[in-house]
Amino acid sequence: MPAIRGVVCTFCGCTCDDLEVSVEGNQVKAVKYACAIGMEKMSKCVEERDPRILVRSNGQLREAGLEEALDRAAEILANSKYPLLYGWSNTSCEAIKVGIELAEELGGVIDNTSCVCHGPGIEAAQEVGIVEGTLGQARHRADLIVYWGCNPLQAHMRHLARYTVMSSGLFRAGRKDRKLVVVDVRKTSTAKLANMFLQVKPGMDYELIQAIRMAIQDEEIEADEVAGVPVEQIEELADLMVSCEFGFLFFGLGLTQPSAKNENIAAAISLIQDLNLKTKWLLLPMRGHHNVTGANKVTLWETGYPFAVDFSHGYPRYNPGETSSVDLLTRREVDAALIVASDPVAHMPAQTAKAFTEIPMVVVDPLMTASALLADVRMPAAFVGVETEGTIYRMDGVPLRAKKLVEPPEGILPDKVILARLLERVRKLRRR
Amino acid sequence: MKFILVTGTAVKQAQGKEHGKISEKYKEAAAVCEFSEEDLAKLGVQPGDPVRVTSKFGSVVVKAAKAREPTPGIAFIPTGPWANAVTSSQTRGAGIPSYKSLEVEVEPAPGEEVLDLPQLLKQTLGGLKEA
Repeated sequence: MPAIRGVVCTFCGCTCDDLEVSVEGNQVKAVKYACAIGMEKMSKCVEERDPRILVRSNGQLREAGLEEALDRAAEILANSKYPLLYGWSNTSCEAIKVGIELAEELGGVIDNTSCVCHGPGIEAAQEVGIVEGTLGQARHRADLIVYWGCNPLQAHMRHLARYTVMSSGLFRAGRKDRKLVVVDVRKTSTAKLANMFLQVKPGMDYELIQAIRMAIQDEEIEADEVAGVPVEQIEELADLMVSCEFGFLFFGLGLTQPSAKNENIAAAISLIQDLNLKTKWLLLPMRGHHNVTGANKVTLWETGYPFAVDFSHGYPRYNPGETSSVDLLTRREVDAALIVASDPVAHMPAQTAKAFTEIPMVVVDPLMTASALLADVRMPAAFVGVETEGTIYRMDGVPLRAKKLVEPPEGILPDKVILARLLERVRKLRRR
Repeated sequence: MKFILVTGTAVKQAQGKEHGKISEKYKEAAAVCEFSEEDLAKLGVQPGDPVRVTSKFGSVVVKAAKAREPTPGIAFIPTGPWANAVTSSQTRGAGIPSYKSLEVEVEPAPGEEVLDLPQLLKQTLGGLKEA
């Protein structure tokens, strides 16, 4: 059987769309061109799935049928006064759209995993604006790439080869035509490839960005070093940034997650705005999950806000710190949860995740997750991009169509179908 | 011994995640703390030895490992539930917790067990909703 070409990888935000997949007997047999992580996702994700639908009774999870699970899930959500509908970054835009309808119906909060990754970048863009571009612009035009607080060789493994320093674009032949700068608290694998590495002291990125902004304006920095970086190196970087033809800064969680959070990103955007007075610069976040960008896009166009959207007043409200998941859970304000395509019990701080032990929870996810272990209802779903198709957004906001490569096991449905049935049941219960 | 803790994605942890969080592959990749060779020597532990990592927010036992990207003074735990046993829920109004640049104390933990995921959740969350 001929290989399926142009397959979109559904691991990280690079969503590489040049994979070739061979399928035999409804099984993925070979995957070409994916990175080590994408290979694992596309070829082996189905191997250790637990296909059981589970419902908790007398404290223990027991196997159940889909109808019973949907009834119990609908009952939990319909009886809730203020539910949280969380996750969405590992599923399709079509599923997210149904989730938003469900949140509105319930008067709950819908939030995506941006609240633990690049939410601060969105807040910063709302504060100071943004100068974004596409990965195509980086590939074809950029002669200076800066990776700040990200380590693509570990997390976005083909980013350098497809879109930046190693890629061959229309106007740049490859590595010899480009310079690479890495700023990080650790000398990462990516840093080892750099023409210049700035090792910033942990938690002091904001100070370093502002020092670079001063150097770009030819202002004197009255110190020997800033944030652990010698002033000579800061001035050298400023010269490099001003003298390039087309610069592109990519930032990761190393910039969004330390204590300065959104203020780090607001400073980085301001740096790019300053640089655009002298030459051409763009910036982009290194989005992690394959459709976390889509989760922001769909939530934005449906509600007017990109994440942390609260429907409890009957209309959408957004106020990170108040309506964001970690805050709602830590303050124990929500009284039920629907978790779709993510695992907050594993990925939120334990003090926050503890809230999930105190409220009823419904989990819809292809894999058995830490959250599923705490679920009152667990419904396994088909893998997007392997067992079901759907629209997803690359990290730069380019929409792509994830393909269906194999049939899911009998009884395993796409999450968009499960959610639509759940919405139907919730509506019936609430109109009684 | 004091360290700055950084949590983040690593190839093996990401691969393990795609096998499911209950898998042994995931535990092997995520229940580790990486140190530079100098820091391993200062701690008096070998790669594979259990160490206890404690912050203001919690404590967890993980296996020590030699960092592929060593930086003295920095301890690295891949993103996941073992890392999140010690991360902070404080969002400072931005909605995002603090996963990086946390002060932690690390000590050898001879004889202590690295818990698997269900055991870890029972310990850090205080239960699994079991009757």
